[in-house]
Amino acid sequence: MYRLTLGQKIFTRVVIALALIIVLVPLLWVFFLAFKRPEEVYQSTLFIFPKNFHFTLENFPGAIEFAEKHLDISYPRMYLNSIIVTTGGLILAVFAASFAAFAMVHYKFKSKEVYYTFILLSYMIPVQILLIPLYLVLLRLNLLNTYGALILPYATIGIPIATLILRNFFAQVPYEFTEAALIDGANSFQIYKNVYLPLARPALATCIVFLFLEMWNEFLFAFIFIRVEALQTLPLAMSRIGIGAKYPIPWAIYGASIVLAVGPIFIIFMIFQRWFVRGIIAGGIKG
Amino acid sequence: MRFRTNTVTLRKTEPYFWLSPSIILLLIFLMYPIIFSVALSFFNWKGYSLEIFADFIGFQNYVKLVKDPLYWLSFRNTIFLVITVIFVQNAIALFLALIIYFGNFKYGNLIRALIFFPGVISAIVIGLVFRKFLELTGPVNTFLKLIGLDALAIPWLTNRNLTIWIVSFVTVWQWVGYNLVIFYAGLQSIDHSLLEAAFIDGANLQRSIFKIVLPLLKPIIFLSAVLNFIGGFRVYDIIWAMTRGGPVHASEVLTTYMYYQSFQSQGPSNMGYAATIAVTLAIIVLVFAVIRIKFLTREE
Repeated sequence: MYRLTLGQKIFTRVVIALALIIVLVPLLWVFFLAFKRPEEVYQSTLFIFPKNFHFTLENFPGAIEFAEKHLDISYPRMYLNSIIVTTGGLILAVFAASFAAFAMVHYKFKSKEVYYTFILLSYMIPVQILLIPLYLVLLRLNLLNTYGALILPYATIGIPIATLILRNFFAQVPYEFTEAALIDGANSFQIYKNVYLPLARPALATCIVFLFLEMWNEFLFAFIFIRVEALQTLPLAMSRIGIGAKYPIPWAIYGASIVLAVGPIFIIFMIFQRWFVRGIIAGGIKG
Repeated sequence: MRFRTNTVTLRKTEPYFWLSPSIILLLIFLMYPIIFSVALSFFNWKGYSLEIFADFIGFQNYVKLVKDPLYWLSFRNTIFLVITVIFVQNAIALFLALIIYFGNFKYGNLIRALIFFPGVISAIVIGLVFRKFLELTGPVNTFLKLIGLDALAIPWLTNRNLTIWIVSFVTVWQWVGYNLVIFYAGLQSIDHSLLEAAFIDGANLQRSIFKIVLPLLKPIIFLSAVLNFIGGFRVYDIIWAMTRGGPVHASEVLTTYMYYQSFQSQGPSNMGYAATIAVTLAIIVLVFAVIRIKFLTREE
């Protein structure tokens, strides 16, 4: 590796320090906003920290109460809704995509290239073009204002990229493994289940991380297809404390609400950091 | 050869059995809606009437679009945003990736993760953060006043000329870590023998980066640009959360304008026209998607 000169060493440290300040200051400011006394939100120490470092937890019950009173939904319910639609969409997408990826690797068939191109194009289609017709389809299927209104479209949007990631991975499975299974008399389902899936665990994990981020944070579909408060996902419910909110929200409560919405994701991210990075790389490069 | 030669009968249909869950979902929730939207763009349909395909108007929606100043404003803003994420965001990301990679940072992984973290948060929440952050009495203005720049302490998000800049800045802020991670992976995958040789010969770092590293990274840079191109056209949530396309449409992009024309409460509810906007958006993105596919297949 290259040995930096003193000047380079200083330069790189200064640049990274600046970058970290720009990235972290808004987040830290909101984080500490949640711990300030409501009457002291304008009097921060060093712009970010509570005045004289007096932390308080009173804003969290306040945020929970605000949500129940003015957003008509509780935080556990928002989480539950987000967990249900994300898990549902994920399971459906990963199953369908792993089936398709298996077919594309294990068989030789005429329209394989056509399907591949179709998948590549579907991955890039802007969802706005689906919005009006999807609304009508879901209306017809009686799915509006149900979890299904999100699970089915999320799964569909997730299938193309999941298929691409898994296909790339399946293609690296040595044919000897399949051959050995065939000699043992395995049928194709057994090959899928006992050869491909166990070997593809890392690919499945990257896939799940990538799709999880997209589905967990999805807003537009939820916004159009879910109008009942009780079924709203986190981003959707949170969007109602922003512009045009029916009730003004005190700054400290605002901060606490954001911490309640992001905190768990932050913890998950820090634990599975490596997987998140891998998921993003796989989604970007292999897509 | 990966197909089965020992079992010939009935196998022709077998791959389609495996593809069927995907195909069924994609047909109902993707293909059908796309065709529907294209068809709808040739009709005048107001959301509240029951007959959808009753008033066929040919290309009139497209003609209307060409003459619609709000469409062109949205188009211009979209292009502004897309150019920003392609050039500014990628340049910053590449610069930071190089610095972290060659800087021998002890906590390189942690730095990368922290810069990437905003990409994990929903854009709606990021919007909420920056709305308060930039508010008239918010910390940015407090800071500006403290250092004597009182004139700059303005209500940022209600300034017509500034909103699109601010929205673009926040988009870059949120996603720069995403490109950084991709570039970093690219740096890790380049062949080091060339670099080592250059260093042994006494080449300096800047020169080696320009002469050796950047040329090797070209495919990744191109890929990153295309990803940002497609991502830039899709931006919706952050604008919705920060400005709703306002003030008075000043920060409207194609995606928010499409929403405004269709589902916006007390909006025009021009479903046919909104479909037309979405179709033009999809065409632009798909043209570049095809370029990307060409590029990907060339790579293979």
